[in-house]
Amino acid sequence: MMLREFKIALLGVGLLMSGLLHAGVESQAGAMAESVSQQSMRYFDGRRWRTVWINPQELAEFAVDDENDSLLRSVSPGAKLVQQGRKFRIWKIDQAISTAPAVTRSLNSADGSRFAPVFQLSASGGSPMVLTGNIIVRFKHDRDQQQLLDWAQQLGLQLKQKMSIPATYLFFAGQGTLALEKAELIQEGGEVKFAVPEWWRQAYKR
Amino acid sequence: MKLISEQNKRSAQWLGGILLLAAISGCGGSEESASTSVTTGDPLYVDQWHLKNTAQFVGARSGEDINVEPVWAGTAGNNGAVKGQGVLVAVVDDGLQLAHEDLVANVAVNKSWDYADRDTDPTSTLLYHGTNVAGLIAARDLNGLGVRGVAPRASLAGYNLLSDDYPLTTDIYDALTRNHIEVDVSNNSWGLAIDELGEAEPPTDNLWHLGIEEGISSGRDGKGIIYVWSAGNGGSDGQDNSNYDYQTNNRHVISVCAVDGRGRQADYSEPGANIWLCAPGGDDVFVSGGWTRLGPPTTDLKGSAGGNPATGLADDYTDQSYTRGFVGTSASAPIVSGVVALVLEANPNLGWRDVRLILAETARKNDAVDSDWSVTSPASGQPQYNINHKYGFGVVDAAAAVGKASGWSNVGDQVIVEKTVSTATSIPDNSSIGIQQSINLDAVADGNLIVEYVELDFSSDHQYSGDLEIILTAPSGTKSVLAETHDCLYLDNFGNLQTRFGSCFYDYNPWTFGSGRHLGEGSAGTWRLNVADKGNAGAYGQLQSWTLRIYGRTQ
Repeated sequence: MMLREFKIALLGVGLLMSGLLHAGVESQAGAMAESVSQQSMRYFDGRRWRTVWINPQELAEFAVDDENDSLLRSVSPGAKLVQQGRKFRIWKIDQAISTAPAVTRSLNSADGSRFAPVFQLSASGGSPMVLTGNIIVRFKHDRDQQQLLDWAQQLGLQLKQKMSIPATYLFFAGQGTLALEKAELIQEGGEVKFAVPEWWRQAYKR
Repeated sequence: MKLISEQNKRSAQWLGGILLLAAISGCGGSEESASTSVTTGDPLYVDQWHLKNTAQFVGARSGEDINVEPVWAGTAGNNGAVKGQGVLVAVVDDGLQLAHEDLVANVAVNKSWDYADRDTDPTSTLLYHGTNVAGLIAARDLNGLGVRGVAPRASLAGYNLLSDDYPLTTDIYDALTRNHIEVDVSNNSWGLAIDELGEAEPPTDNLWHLGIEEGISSGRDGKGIIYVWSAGNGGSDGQDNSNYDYQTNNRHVISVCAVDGRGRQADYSEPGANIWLCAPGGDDVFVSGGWTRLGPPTTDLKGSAGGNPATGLADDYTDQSYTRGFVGTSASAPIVSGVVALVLEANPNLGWRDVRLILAETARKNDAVDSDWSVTSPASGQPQYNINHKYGFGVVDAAAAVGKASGWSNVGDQVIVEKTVSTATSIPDNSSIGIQQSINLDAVADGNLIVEYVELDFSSDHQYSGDLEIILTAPSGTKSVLAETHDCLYLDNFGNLQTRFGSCFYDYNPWTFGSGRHLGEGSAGTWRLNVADKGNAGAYGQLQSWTLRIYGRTQ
């Protein structure tokens, strides 16, 4: 699948599912007894490859100040707000994404930048994580501005900023699972030290 | 003894008013002229049991404090009064009220950062945790107001990384490295792993590690930022351990546990082989009629917006700009950060490893009757340390640390020795016998290092990590309990913790454990790893490989 095809896709669970096919759904042989997720993707965390799991019962919505939740209610009338953050809120939906075609269809036809999947680092659960759509790329050797722009264009990325880590830049890859998919593709290409998706990751005061 | 003194409440207002009036009128009541005594000038100081414990409250025992008065008075072996002057402490938290009356004089101009609005004012009107933390570090002294920080003349920068419960991983990197040339101490009363569940939750990516490594290698002009980290509050249910937290396993952070007013393990404070030392963090105490809270008094958001009254402590201060309801390893870590600020004023040339060594060497053995205390077997010429999984090397002692820092010679370059065993071995299920593997470090070929820290990369496909007890034994015989057989927990729909029988979210595959318990010992000889599945029957697995990594210096 060509990466540019993703550019026209809106975020939705359909895209999420296509991403799963692209990345390969991993074996569930090792899943634990209380497993709730059957969907996983692979990414390089900067040191090692990791498996990340899609929480089938939760969705992140970026329109935190929009009181109109009719879109969500149309496909999941009983959706419950479980977390309210500054950038997004997380809903628990009635029916698992993977078994709810109505959810898939509706979200695919809606504003794709409004919703995102919620990930966790275990099949059984764990702290919620949400993709920003960005990728942090550390090159083996630094590049000039034009080289960066050419490289980004080739991969359908948008250069956002240089980071303070040497030879490291932030690129926008796209909503949904695109950041995971493209990061994996870049990492496997072998010309970077790492390409890791940027996350919103839950933190706790002690 | 009283839980909180009405007299103190009144005297706080009265004395504060008198001194403030004197300062305003210029009648000799300025900060400097008020500095004739280390015990006056801050009306709530008499309540600050963590600084000077006189058994002023129920739940407090005389002497169970951090012994800081000699440092301020200049009698701790230091040359003159030391209060943290010239040392910048970054408070990585949910905010910092820059204009707070008892903090404003110590706030570094334009050094703070607001991750929400991308400007230099991290003040929050609702989030008070960071302001609580900051007051413990560096509330201004001798100003006739409120409380006093451990380092009352240190400078503060607030980075409100946790103004959102979901920080960006790139912002986490930023918060650990921002102003890294100027920042001396980074206080982190937070974590990326949820406490209490007993889960070894892995990192999402390497940005946290990269930030710490950057701060250590380039921070403070190459001497390294001192990262102080709360060890975690998951101790109450007996299932959590700071060794299940990748941040506190990191050798670059000082992992801080908490003691109560009697110098005993606070109910919530997690044990762990990676605990470096403790500080007072407060706890709930039982008085006639019920439970109340004895936290170290500190600053709070002005007015009624903060922890006072949000924590619900019935007899908290009437002046709601202050609170004594703030407890946790969130409170103990900044007390250590304050001590580090004092140490760095006394000797700004110390490297990050020197600071760790000074804190360990000068920590006070508390709760002497606790059965977990033992001692290290030091290499030639090295000090012997008291060690305890609950307390690390003990409770921080400011006067001893500053005294030691003043004449300290920096240690030499760090050397690393690493060896791996990859012999897959089944771990007997539901058995106390377990398996043992060993690594031999040859004194000549590998060098007999003076150990500073030990890491163990553990890989097992065991289905239920909570079943495993993992113990590392050094050539000296000193043991590090890296993991205990425990249940993993979850929060039910009512917010109650329930046992997840037969599963944890995460396994130790791989997981890096850290231990400070072999400090000062020689590395040469046989290191033994014992792994036993003492949990319920039915979950199986192998020890697949392990890597022992010794950080130290040549003898």
